Amino acid sequence: MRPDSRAAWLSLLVLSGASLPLRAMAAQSISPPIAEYQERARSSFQLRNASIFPLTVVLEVRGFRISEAGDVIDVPLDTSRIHVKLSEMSFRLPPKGSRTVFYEAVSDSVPAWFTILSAMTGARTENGLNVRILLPHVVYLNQKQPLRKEEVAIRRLAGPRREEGPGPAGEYGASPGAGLPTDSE
Amino acid sequence: MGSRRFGLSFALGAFLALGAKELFGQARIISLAATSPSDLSLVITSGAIQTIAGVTDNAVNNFPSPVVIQTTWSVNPGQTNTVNLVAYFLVPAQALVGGTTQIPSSRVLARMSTGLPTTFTAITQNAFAGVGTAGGSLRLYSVNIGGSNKNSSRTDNLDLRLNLVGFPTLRAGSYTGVLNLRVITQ
Repeated sequence: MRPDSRAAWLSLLVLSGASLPLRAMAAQSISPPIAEYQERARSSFQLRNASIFPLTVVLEVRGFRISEAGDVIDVPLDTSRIHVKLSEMSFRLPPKGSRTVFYEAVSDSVPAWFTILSAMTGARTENGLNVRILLPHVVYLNQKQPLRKEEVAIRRLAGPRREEGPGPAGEYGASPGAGLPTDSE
Repeated sequence: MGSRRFGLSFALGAFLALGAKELFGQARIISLAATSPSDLSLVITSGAIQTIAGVTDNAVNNFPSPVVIQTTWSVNPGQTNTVNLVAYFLVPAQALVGGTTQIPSSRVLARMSTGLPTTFTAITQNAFAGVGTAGGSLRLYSVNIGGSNKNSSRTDNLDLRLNLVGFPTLRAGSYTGVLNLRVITQ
């Protein structure tokens, strides 16, 4: 074997060895974690259990809102506005198994959003601490028509006024109520 | 016989005339598209069950092995800014329960050397982004997502300990609890 080809084989071996941990990582997973639809959703997400132990999965639908700082804040689902149907609410995920959960979602007004939480628990212990994993599937229901320019507003909420700011001081747009709701709404 | 041949020729002629588009049309373009869905996984490679064989009263008791957590993500930075992990107990006053005795979450300490609580910290924080419980949560890590780490993973060790210093003597028996680990993508 020529030194060049030997080096190539060694590189291949090293690369294949390096990829082993990546393959082993594919365990309790959700795909996709975030999905966007127009007006209504008829879709699914997949849960995988690549471990050698069975898992009990319990699904829960939660809402969330966006703070002024842009952070997601978990809240109960607004069931008066957002209607979500899941194909199942709980099941056993066998070792090395996967499950596709189907759902339908519609909202009385868009945009709307919610999270389907999958809580996965392994075997229960009689003594000590169990660890439970919660993975999210976030769904956004968007409107079909893009937002018009006058529906987007950017406002300065705090801090001193600056002379060089574009447009009228403190306000860069119009029409409250368009776009994402914030803490102030 | 002649009329039958004439009929067949007529039918064939009509078929060719009507189907001429299909026979002599331009090549059709078939669009091919493939989408690789985003993915988020959290793996507890070891330590999913934490047990202390013999608890010592009025002392700090370490759980013998850490909870080894591997988080892997393949996400779109346009949709996901951060990936956070929060640990919490559903009822902070009852982190571990045995019979009528309840051990609160303030007695359970956690440390993640590669995360935010780099020293042992009681699981008594308030909920992060509304996730967790007031006085029973602990934010473990926060990763900003950008183009360079949109496909990435990390491995963290979560060390746990039970602080029973000054706590009433535990009655003999089993004490159980559930620690929730929730991933937040935003």
